[in-house]
Amino acid sequence: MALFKKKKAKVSMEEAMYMETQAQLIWRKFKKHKLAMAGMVILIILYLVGFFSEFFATQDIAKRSTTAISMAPTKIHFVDAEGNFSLQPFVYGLKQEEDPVTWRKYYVEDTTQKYPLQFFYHGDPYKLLGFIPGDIHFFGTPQPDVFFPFGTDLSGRDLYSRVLSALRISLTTGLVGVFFTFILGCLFGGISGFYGGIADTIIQRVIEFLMSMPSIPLWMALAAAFPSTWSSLQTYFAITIILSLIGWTSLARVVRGKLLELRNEDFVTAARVAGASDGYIITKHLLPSFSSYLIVNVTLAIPGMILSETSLSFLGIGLTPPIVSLGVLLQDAQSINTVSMYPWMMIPGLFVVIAVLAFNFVGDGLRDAADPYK
Amino acid sequence: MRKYIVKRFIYMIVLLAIMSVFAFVVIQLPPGDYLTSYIASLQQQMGEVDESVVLNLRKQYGMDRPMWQQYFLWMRNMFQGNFGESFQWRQPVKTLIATRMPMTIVLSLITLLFAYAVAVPIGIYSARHQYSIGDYVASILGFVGLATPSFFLALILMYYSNRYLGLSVGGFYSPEFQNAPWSFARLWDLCKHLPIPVIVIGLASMANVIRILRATLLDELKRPYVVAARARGLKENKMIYRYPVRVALNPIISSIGSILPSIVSGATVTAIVLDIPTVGSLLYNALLSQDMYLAGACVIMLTAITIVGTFISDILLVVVDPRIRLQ
Amino acid sequence: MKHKKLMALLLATCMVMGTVGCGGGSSAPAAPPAADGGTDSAAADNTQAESGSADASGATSTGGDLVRGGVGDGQYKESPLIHELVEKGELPPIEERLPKEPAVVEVDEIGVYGGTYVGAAFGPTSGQVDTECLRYQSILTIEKDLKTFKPNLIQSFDVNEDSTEFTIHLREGMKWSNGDPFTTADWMFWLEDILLNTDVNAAVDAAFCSNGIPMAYEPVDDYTLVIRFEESNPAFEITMARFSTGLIRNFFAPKEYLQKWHITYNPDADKLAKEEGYESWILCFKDHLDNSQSQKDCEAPDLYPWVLDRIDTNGNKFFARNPYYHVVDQEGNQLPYIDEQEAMIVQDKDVRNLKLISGEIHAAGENPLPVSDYTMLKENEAAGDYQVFLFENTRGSDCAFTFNITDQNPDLREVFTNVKFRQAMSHALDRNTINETLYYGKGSVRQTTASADTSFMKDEFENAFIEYDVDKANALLDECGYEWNAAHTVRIMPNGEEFNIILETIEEFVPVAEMACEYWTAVGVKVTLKQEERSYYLERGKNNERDMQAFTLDSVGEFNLRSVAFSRLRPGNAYDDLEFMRAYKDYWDSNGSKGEQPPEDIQQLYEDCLKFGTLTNTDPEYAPLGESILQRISDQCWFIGVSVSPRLVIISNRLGNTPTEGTFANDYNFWKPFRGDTWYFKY
Repeated sequence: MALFKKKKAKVSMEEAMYMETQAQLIWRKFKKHKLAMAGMVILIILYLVGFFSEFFATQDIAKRSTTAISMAPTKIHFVDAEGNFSLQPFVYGLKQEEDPVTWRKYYVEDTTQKYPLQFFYHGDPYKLLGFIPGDIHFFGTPQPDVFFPFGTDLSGRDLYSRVLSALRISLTTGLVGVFFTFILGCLFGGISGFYGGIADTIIQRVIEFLMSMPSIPLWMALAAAFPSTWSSLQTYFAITIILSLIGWTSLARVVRGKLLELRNEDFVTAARVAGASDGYIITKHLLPSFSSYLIVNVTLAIPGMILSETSLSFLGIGLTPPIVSLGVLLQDAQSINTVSMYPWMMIPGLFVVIAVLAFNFVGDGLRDAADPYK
Repeated sequence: MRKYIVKRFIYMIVLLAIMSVFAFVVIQLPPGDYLTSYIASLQQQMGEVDESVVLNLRKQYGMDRPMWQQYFLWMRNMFQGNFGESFQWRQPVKTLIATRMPMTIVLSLITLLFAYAVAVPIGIYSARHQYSIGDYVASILGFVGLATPSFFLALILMYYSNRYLGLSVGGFYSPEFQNAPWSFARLWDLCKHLPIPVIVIGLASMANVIRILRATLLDELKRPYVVAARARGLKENKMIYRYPVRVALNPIISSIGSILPSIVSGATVTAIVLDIPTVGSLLYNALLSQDMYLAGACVIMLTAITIVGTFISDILLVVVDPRIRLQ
Repeated sequence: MKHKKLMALLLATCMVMGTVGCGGGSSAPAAPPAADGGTDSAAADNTQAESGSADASGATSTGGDLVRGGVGDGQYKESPLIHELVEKGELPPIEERLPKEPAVVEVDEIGVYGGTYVGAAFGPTSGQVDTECLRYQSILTIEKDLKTFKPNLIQSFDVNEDSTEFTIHLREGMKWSNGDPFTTADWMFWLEDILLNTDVNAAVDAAFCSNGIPMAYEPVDDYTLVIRFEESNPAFEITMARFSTGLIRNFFAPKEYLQKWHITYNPDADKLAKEEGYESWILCFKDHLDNSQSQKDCEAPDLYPWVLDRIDTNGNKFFARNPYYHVVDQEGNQLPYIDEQEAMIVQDKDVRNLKLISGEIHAAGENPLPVSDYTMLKENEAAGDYQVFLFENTRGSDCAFTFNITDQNPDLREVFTNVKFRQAMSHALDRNTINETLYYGKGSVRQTTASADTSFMKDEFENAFIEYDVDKANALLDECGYEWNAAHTVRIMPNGEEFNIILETIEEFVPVAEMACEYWTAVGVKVTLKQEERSYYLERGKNNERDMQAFTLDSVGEFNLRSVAFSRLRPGNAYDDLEFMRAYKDYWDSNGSKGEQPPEDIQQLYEDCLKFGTLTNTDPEYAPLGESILQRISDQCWFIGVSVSPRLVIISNRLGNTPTEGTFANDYNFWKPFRGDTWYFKY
């Protein structure tokens, strides 16, 4: 009986597979790609933490502390100076001292001052997402200027809080560019692939032209040409749009290739015979049949945007302080000073790597899963 | 085939011509010009510069003519082999480019070779062992290169190589070999300076190659001819390298065209950080100081690398892949 | 079949490259242990070098052998390098090369001949102060006390009573670096065919004028010349001791060498110019004339200790010893000691830092090394075998903020012209915290005014409106009538809009500006920072497009106040990087045909500054007038300053006769008082 039931269940599962939607099928295949899954989880965490960065941060991102300049990440203790173990982690107060010759600031733990770390404490007030007021922070200590999980920068600002805030900017601004890339890519790729002929030739030549252009000089020239009344955020968005103006080419090629393949399929011919308009055929029949490829392409375009943001900041034409993005933080850290003496200030670079990797793996997973019937 | 090459060649020339107009427009876009920044730097170093001196300079350098006249002047001169004079360097642009171009091309080629040399084995391995631990490790390593901002990686590598390997930074040679005649010692010195830029630039392109190769090879491995070959008892290794890998390498060759611009761009950023004399870093400084003759020539030269590179890869593809030849 | 082979070859290459690549990768982690050994041995080298005597030969990267003292039997001795050429007959003996009475310099240690000095060049035609200012010679020297001048390129000079006539006595027998005699003909050539030739030089720099009329030369004989001014010019002594950039060469130029490119002397000069690739003789002539940082003629003679010898393909410049250099040390050794100077192009700041801390660059000071790099530079002293010194700084403020009081936007102009607003903004800054955060607390907090060592300086000028007082700032802003908005987050301008002032600056001043903006926002005046590329920033300043700016205020030492009519503190002369009354400046520059007429008090201040320029420092009016000008500038609170920090100066331990303290400032041409020609390599 039990045996029979089991067999029946298996059969129904197989049957169910045939009845699943394409999305479900893709998801099933996607789950097999362990790196993609890991990437997905990381991305969700990064976006969550970035979005609610005020809550997850330990303090205000703009707050400077002259008593904590260039401080290394704070040591978290479980065992105190007397050897007593406590389950609740704590940090010691730090005393700033200066080397009389090199002026180097160093910090000595003061074991008489002990600050336990706790969840949901009341700290610096903030406005979540810019409008929800609050002062509850996820994890840390209410005592100011003692707990810096990633250390502090050259002017005594908490790097951890700044990285979280930067994540929000860096992970979202790229989406704008990708959005435009998507629209342009679909439009020109669609025209090129569907109509062919002269339109196709012209668009292909334009694509080749754009692809053979090294992007750096274009960025620099354009950045200087924008009106100065624009804030650096506006300038940055403008550059992002320009980036997508030259970045749509690869997507357009994918779209064109797929369209050429699909154009002669029977169902398209059928639709045409039935008198459907071109726009209708493209949007209702063609686009859906390769939407998974589009998703893959878009996913893989986002990390490029994140990297572009850092490169633009490096060239001095991207976002600038007081806006905090990963590129801005990296630009701060881009000096021999940092590399040789304050390695923790390179942590934002680590986050760039993690975010870009995660996007790439998710994209790869999607690509592998895009054709679930394979 | 000859017809195809001729057609491609004509097309390449047209592309170059468009690029020249484009380069001219781009370098004209930013406000201000070379003289402004020249005077700025003078002021910063020593103090005031008389207004009359400025007017004088402007007139002498033909900055008061309309833009289209300046373009045709520029193009005409370029065809006569006269690229103009760099204001900033006070040397003919031709000389400046000529001394940097060979190393720029060499650097790009070595980087390309490096990227393929590392990526091809990884790609083949990844495809053959899809979803294995090795596949994951290889992909992660490959993608870390792609994910690290190149300017940052360059700085870190530069610092450690200077600190712990005692390598002189900036440039392709140590100072004592800078102007020395060619010798084995100089060549060796060059070899010591090449790895950092090559690794930094190459890593970024590597991931792309891995990705393309892995995907194509995966497709090929599922083809009936592979099954047939297996069924006939061909040794797995021999079979894979003789047939599917060969097919999978075609897209790699055609991808040279798309990878070259990114290598050239990456080389620009890296060269700025490492302060190595390539056309890329020359361009960066030229743009910063509005040295427009130089900037324009650099843009044309850099795009020429990618355009000519694409042309060569197209021709190569025809040679390697009989299917295209037959079309 | 052929293709198969090709493929196999390609694959094989890939494999080989792959293993090479892997090999390269695996050797990287193994580097640190090896590196430890490397630093150890480097340290050992240092100790050995320090204990070893100065004449230890070899073991240097400078190439040539170092020899103490010169070669020669007579009164004067010369470098062995030159001596060789003399023996070969390529150069005349030293007695014929030196002037009858060479300039004598009292050096601390008799140096060793040889070596190549390397200084960084920030670009091919700019940022070469660390070589140029060691090379440059003026008519008079500025001695290390920064007060006395001594004849250098000339034997002596006399002044008449009302400072309108300066009689110059040249050094008899002095020669250019190519052996041509240096006479009054060279002076006349410069005045008539360069300074006053409108083709070559459109307008005469103010430094060579009095009351707008250019000076006149009158040659008495080959070695005597009278310089005449219409009106008294007591600060002319300073002009002779400093150098400025208005013109490429000052006071004289090598006539013998240059005349063939000048149309006056060679009717075919245009043809010659075309042959050399120039469109006109003017461009060609100017290129040959040029001995500034953009010099390209490697033949052009000079009077400097080193003259341009060659430029390599990367733009690095090499300056070789001038065998005719007119200076000897107290024992008669002809200077300079160092054989060669190299201006090495290093455009990236991190690469430059690495070259500094590995000792590849021998001295650095100009293009300010940020104070924030101090720790890093100091910690690497031993490894790079150099020392970091802290020199005095004569800047008015390392960073000054100014509001555009002739702003094109009338609403902003109304705010900016309100002196209470400016005072409030000054009180809102916590300068001590800024100093602590950005300058290790080593700067001295002060308001922007003339240099601290100015003779008529008063504490009240330096301390005007600088105490950090948020309440006072708020009270002042309330007095101006700038009410807070309903949410009490920002104040409202008279036109009803919320405050949002755009502050423009360049990269160097971003850290301090960033902090200042935070303080201003705290008192309700929102200031948004905008970082710009240098030339673009200047362009906007010229067009009167900036509302507010941040830049350094230097060149305000007493020297400059005297010689350039109160220098940058004179209304309308704050330079394009800090100018805040462009419309008035245009008015003055155009004699009233352009711009706007300034209000009376500013006009008066402007005229007083010009008057100050014609006074001697012994004039009874001098100090009171200077003080009164400073008082008025201080009351206006036009410049909001922060602090002045010490200048970082780096000098290799291998160099001798180098300074360990002093003033490093634009006012004194940076390195010039420290005499690069007396420096030498100890090892």
